[in-house]
Amino acid sequence: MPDRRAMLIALVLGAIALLPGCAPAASTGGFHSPNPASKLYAIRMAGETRDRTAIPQLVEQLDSDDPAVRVFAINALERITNQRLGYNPYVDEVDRRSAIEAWVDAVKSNRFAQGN
Amino acid sequence: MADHAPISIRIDSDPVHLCVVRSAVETAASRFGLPQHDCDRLVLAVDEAMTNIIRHGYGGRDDRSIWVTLSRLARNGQTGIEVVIDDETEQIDTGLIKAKPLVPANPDEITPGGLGVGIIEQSVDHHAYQRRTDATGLRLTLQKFASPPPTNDGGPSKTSLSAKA
Repeated sequence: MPDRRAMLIALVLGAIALLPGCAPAASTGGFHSPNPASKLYAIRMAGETRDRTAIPQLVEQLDSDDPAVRVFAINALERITNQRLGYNPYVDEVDRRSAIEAWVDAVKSNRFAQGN
Repeated sequence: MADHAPISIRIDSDPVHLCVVRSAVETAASRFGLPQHDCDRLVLAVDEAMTNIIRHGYGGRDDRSIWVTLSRLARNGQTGIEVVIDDETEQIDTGLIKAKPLVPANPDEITPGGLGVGIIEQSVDHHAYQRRTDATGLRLTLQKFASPPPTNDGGPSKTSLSAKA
């Protein structure tokens, strides 16, 4: 049931974005901007400042349709956590799925929270 | 690894063929010793460049040619890759190709569109647009060297931040 699985992941990603205490800092407020330039700016700023509070929002971007967003998001995540969790931004959507699930699990378990 | 002749690919200007180039660039860059995060950025730059050629240079026509040549680079003990992309677009003033900063001094200056050249500039160590001398068209040369893995130790980044939101 790939459709149900995809829907479940989308719901989990959405829920993560709403977790209390994980609200984006001011510098990362463009994650949901319809303007790709603003979104890339937010992603780059999060990586450059190693903003761990932005990790959930960065994980959301791993599922983007835009390859530039995916590349910058995994680069930012790698910069913050030193991990890729097997994610490759250029494999097809189905092959990206397991790595995204690993990132979602890591966020849910606070694996990359400050001090971990 | 022994030096080999450059790898050359010609594709029609149809976006369905871009995956072939992406795959070749990623595989070659990885074999030349670039880590995955560098391969990602290089593939992104090549993808943006080829999309620009198809969309703007060829006006969306899918029956024109694009040539991609991949060569191994070595510089001061660093390994890298050079990607040369040739097209047959009309001659343009290469000085008009301007990169839009991905991290502008003033975030309020962020406007939609025109990001491709900026993404290319930010994703490789060297890039140069030239008019082709062997034919009508444009040549884009990209060079990318292996970089240390991104760290969270607070070390310097390639692009310094010019603004804080």
